[in-house]
Amino acid sequence: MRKLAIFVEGQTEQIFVENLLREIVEKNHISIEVKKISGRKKHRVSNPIVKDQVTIETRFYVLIYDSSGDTQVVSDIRDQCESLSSNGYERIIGLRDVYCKSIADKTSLDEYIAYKLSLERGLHYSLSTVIMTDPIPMNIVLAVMEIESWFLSEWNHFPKIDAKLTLDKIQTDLGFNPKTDNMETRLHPSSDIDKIYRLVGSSYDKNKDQINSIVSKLDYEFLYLKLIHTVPSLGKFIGYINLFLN
Amino acid sequence: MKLDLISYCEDDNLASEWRLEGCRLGNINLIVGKNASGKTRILRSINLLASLLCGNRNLHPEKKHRNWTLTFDSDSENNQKIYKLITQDGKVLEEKYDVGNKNYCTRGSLGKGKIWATQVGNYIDFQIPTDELVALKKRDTIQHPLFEDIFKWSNSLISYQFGTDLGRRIIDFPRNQRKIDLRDTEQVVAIFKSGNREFGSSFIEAVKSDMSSVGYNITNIGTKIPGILLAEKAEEEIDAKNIKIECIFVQENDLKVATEQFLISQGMFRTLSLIIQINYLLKANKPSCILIDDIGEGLDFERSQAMIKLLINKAETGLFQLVMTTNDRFIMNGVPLEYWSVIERKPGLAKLHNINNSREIFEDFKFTGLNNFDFFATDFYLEGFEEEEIIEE
Repeated sequence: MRKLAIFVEGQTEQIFVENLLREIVEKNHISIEVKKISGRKKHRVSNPIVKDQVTIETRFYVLIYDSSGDTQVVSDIRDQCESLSSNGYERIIGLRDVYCKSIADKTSLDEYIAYKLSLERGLHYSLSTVIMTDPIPMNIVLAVMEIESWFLSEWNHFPKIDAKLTLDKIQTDLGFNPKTDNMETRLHPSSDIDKIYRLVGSSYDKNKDQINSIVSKLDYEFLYLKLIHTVPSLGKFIGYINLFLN
Repeated sequence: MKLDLISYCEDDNLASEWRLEGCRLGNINLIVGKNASGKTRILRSINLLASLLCGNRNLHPEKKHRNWTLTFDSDSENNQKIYKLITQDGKVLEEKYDVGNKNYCTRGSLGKGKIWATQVGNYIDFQIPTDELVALKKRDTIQHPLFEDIFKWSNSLISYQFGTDLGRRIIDFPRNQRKIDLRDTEQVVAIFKSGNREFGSSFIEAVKSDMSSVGYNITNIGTKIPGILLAEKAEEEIDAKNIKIECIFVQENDLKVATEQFLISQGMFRTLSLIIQINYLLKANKPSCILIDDIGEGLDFERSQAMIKLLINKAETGLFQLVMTTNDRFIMNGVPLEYWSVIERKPGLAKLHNINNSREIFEDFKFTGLNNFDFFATDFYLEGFEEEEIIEE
């Protein structure tokens, strides 16, 4: 049985990653464990959320850590990598957004991109300075600007939420087209999702039910086969998963 | 008057040369370096010059060649002050003081020089002993009032060595109204008594409150005759008025009896002593600059962090300039990088890296999400990200 650990910044990413894995790996072959880590730096505590049975058929064991905060993802990886490596994990992937409070005042795409490049370089450096007894690959992926840009890019699911949410309506009412425009250039994708929901009298405030609702309606085949080529950050994330699976 | 820049060199062009480079100071400063990198030496060089300038110390014959240039108030071109002093063998080789664009005083190795006389409206010649400083010898609020600034700065600069006892073993003897020397940081009992006498409960409460913020909850603090002097006699049998030897005691809220200073743990006493002395300075005599060597030494993680937070909060009021040194990871993690200067040690040179001369590296580090300690431990302050290619596996 091969083992992979994925650290994510919050509940949205955790639910999405769990569903993605269940969709792309044959059900009997994967066993997923989810833990939530919370608390201040010196007092991080992890609590179990989900733990699948491991059977004789299980080929892949994936441990998903919800780090409860964007800045905690790399920090938690650094804290746990030695123990994960010694427990047979062969790769660690971190997933967090670019968007965070410290860039909320930035207004131009150029500023966001410059920030994203600096952040990517910084987090990569942070992982590269870890000293492990038995080093394993560790990768960090930044969803640009938020994981909701991946949901926006998967435009097929909007009519499943409400039949009135057509691409034409989104284009007409909100001025962008999730199918033809690059959703990685949207500065605040979760806000865009909220605006789309509001077109049909609903809203998006990242509560668990809403996330489950969106994630369950995503077309994973489309994500896995098509969008990985047009949404670079998604492609990178799935690419690392494929490196593990293959 | 705020010290902005120090240039210092010992034994220029000799095998023993030691030079300080890039020492630009802000209002709050943490000088970080490995052991023997020159942290203490930097503070000593500042303290030595201040001691000479305020007359607390005389030039001693020593082989060492010393060359200081201090720049004050550099944010205002007209008000910037540059003081230069070169000494050797207990003598002044050169001394110079510029204010704004004007030279205020220059003297050479024979003690001869020229100084601007305000009321005369011209330069006047002088000659003073070669082992004396013009800045001190020529203090004159009518003719040379600009020397007063430098005197006040030097006279109210206090240097603490946190890694020492800070007066734990020193008790207070009768002083017969002798003035307390605030530079003698061992005299904490006398300083405490003065604070209590001059400022009463506001001083006591400030000390208690600061101690509490560092995690030491004390319900009472005062002075008493040391128990060892009372021997087996009951305290009330002693006519306390005739016994003036006193020590500090504290009553911790989780202990039944008070603890005398000799029995207080080393870390707690260092904290108490520093808090007493700084509170007294702030109430009695606005300090210009406080130097603290090895801040946090002997304190645990939580108390180090709380101590540093307390000091920074006090310095952020702008009442004094704070310069601290450390190689303690807890302290480093508690101080924002913008206050840091990291010493790069080279043979004969201590080069300081700070946000003024390495802004890009300091700002880049924020993106790593690492603890501040790692900025130092990984040599990021020297190399930054470097231009390595990101290789993905």
